[in-house]
Amino acid sequence: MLYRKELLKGSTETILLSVLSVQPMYGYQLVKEISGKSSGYLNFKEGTLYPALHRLEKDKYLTGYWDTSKNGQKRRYYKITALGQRRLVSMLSEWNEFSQAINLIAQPQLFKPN
Amino acid sequence: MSSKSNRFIENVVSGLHLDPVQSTEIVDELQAHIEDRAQDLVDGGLSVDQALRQAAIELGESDLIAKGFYEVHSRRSWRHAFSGALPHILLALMFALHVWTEPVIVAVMLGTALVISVLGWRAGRPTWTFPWLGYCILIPLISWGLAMSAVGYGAWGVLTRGSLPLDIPIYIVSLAYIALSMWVVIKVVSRVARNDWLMASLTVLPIPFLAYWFLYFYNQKELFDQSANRIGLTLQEIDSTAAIIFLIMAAATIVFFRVGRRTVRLALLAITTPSMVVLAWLVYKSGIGALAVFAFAITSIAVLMSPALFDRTPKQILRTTLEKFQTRRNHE
Repeated sequence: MLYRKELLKGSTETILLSVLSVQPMYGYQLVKEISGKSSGYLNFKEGTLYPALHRLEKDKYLTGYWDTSKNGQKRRYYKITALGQRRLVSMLSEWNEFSQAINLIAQPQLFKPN
Repeated sequence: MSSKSNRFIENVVSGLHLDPVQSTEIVDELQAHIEDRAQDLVDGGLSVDQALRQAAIELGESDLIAKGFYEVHSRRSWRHAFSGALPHILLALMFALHVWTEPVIVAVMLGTALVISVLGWRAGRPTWTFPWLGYCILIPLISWGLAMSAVGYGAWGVLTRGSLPLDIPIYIVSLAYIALSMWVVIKVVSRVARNDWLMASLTVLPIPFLAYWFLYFYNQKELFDQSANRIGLTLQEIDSTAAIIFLIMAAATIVFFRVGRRTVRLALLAITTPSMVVLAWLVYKSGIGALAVFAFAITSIAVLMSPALFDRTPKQILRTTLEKFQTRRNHE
């Protein structure tokens, strides 16, 4: 469990940018989306999500804006920027190489190099 | 709003130390989250109070969240950090080149600090202008010291000779000036400290060392005599030490702006100030005892931490946001 927490902590940026690359979302919607898409495996400690979103916004990977939903609730939405898209591509490529390397070491019989 | 979620928001606001606009936005965002989550929980069968309580618990530890926000929003760019460190660098140059006794250069430096501070004050008070403001505060502080000397001289005359050595209007003007200049300084520092008192501490960072330096020269009675040798030290050696100390201040300012962690910032200021005083004491060998320097260093830390007394904003923001929330609830 602790290992999963650490992995999640290290992958927060990738997860948030990946989910937001599909469509703009607000915080709570992101939590539900991530949990739903990962079948409940990835559960963010919700409060830590917001500083992470603000950090990405400050780094110009996201832009935040307020919008009012149909029921009149004001929410802060986050949208990925072009810089964020480029960052995501580079992170995913890095992630693929990393996970491939781990697989080659941990399960060499399943993942043979070409 | 349940007392649990109220407390949660209170704790977050208390730990933010950001400007009111940012704090209010963050609180609004967290409140929207609590309400969204609570609505889902109510739909799942919980009472409104239980749901709000549960939603606040699920958000996690308020202290950690506040720290996270503070770290993100208070960490500044390299450009911002260098702009903030620039007045210390210029002072270091003035001492390294031994030009601090040139009235024109001192006037240009103080004039620049004044212009930047005034413009910064009018343009939303960006934090990089605060170190510049620190040098502007020096002007009333130094003249306050001179006015105090006049008053002290008068009091001494009354005690020893039973008469005032100077004319009475001089004392009235001096006392009025002391009151006015202190009011201005306290007003400015309290305004800077309103969001984050550490910013006010950063603003007054040079004051302990400059006070020590001023007292040292005052003791030597050779303030503007460049040719004099002082207790085996030349003015050049004294100035080189001052230049190094100002460079230390510049480095501390850059680290302060680049590091977002509040505890690190606090430790940095608490270590830098007495270190500068002790370094000056070790180099200047001014005949001041170790105990006196220790007392001076402790006083310096107290001066630097004193802006904490003005840190009242969280309560103000809290009141505003809670009032806003209550109004919204009443409308619903």
